[in-house]
Amino acid sequence: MRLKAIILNTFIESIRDKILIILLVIGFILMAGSKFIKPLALGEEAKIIKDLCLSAINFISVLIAILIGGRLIYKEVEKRTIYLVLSKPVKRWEFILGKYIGQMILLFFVLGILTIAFGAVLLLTDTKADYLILLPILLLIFQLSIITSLAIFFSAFATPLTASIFTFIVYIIGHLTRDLKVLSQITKSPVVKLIANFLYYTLPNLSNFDIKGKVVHEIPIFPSHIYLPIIYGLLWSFGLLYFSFLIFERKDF
Amino acid sequence: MAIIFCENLTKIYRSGFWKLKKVVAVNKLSLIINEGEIYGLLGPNGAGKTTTLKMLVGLSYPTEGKITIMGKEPKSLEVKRNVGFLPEQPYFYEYLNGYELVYLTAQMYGKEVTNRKIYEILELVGMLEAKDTYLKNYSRGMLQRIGLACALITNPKILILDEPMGGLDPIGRKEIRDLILQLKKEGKTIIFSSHILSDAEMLCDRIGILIKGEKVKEGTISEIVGEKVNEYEIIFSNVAEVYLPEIKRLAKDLIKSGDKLMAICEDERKKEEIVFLIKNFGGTLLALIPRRKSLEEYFFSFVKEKSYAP
Repeated sequence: MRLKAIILNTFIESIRDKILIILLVIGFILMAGSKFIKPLALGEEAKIIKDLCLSAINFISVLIAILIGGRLIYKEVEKRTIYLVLSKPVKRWEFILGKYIGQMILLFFVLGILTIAFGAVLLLTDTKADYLILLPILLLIFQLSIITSLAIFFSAFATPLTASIFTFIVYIIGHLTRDLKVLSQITKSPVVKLIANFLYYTLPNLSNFDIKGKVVHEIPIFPSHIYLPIIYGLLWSFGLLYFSFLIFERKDF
Repeated sequence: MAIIFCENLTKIYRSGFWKLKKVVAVNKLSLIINEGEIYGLLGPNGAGKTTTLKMLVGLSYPTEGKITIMGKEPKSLEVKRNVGFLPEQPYFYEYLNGYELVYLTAQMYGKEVTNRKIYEILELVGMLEAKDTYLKNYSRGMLQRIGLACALITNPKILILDEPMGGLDPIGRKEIRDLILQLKKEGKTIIFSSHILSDAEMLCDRIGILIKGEKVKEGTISEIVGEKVNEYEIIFSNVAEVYLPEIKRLAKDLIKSGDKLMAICEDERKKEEIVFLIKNFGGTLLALIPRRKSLEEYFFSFVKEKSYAP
């Protein structure tokens, strides 16, 4: 019941946040924009519409995860609402876990709305698509899980702005890790090699979750393209949450 | 029977970029609080009152020393289930209304409470009418009251209240004082910090005075202030203006208010002489009030004396 109270409160807090509405509206505009691109698509309209809509879903949900997630813990500390929670029989790990689950429920909700909007765009533009089109969204959930855990991890000790910036930087680098590996192999500078290798091995490889291109261009997808990123996403999320628990457990308020 | 033990409690904060500067917020504080008593933690700003209370509710950890509440550590769930806490200048989730906040608080205790119970608590703290108002529209006093409702919702054995009268008007303060006394009658142990010394004087069984993190005095009000009468207030009327210098010569102060006069003197012999003169000059003695030193007066002179003034 205690965990449920924190989850519900986190969800209510996020759902009443004005940023959420603004980002959802931007998402709808981006997806609706694909309808106007159709005449310029030169026969590739289906691919462009799918690509654009999936990118919009990705972009908006990641922004929500970073901007709302980055404020999740710090806001409670800054506004001292955490006194209300942690003076009650709530374990500190329950608080972190409740915040994470509450935020993930919000992201499910956001993805649900954006996916319905995506479906509407496909219908309105007469674009055919099979169930495979949902696979990038499935993997996006696990990518969002890592981003939310990262945002919680950073916001356990940094200000909301810093936590959001750190999370965004890791997100960007996380999508460039394959390039970092290549860079470490071709560079002659030992310092660059060391930094590239360090970032490659210490930061999550988020490009594992991006199968949008494969789906849109109908490149075959194997089961390992799905289950391996899911396991990878879960391990990273649990790891980050565990370190957040450790930081939080020792924190004075 | 003691319910809260603090032994050599020390809290050191580190500040600065490299965390090299040490700030001792609480220094070797030992407290024993008995079941069913009201204990007041008093002191100027920065004395360590809030830090002490935060350690008691497990929000902050002592650097050294030990706390046991009902024989267990403050972070134990069993202890937390029996402790209600009101933080100083309470901040709550602004997007919730009063009812939702109390309901959420009860759930955090892992307890399902009935609507009736929530309404009873809201009525007790005078917030029933504002139950549907969002907390962002509450005044400071209303937040204080709703905070008390949250502290009381599960009927805890121990109440830890940080400045419970802060932000309240005189009527609100009286209501909270009455509520605290009623809770004491129900057998609750109450520990609170306050800047309002007159309230502490009216409520506390015992007080502890903290200055710069150290407990410099502890005891009952009479142990600390003393039972000795410090001055007398003699209120009278109908004494002709020409006789007043005679009375003024004996009094420490002579104050005129409308057709009444009040002479203040510190000495029993002078008091007798003034009373004699009033009668002799054909005046009417309206009241003779012996005054003890108030806690507030004691506190200020004590702080000044020890050169501890902030």
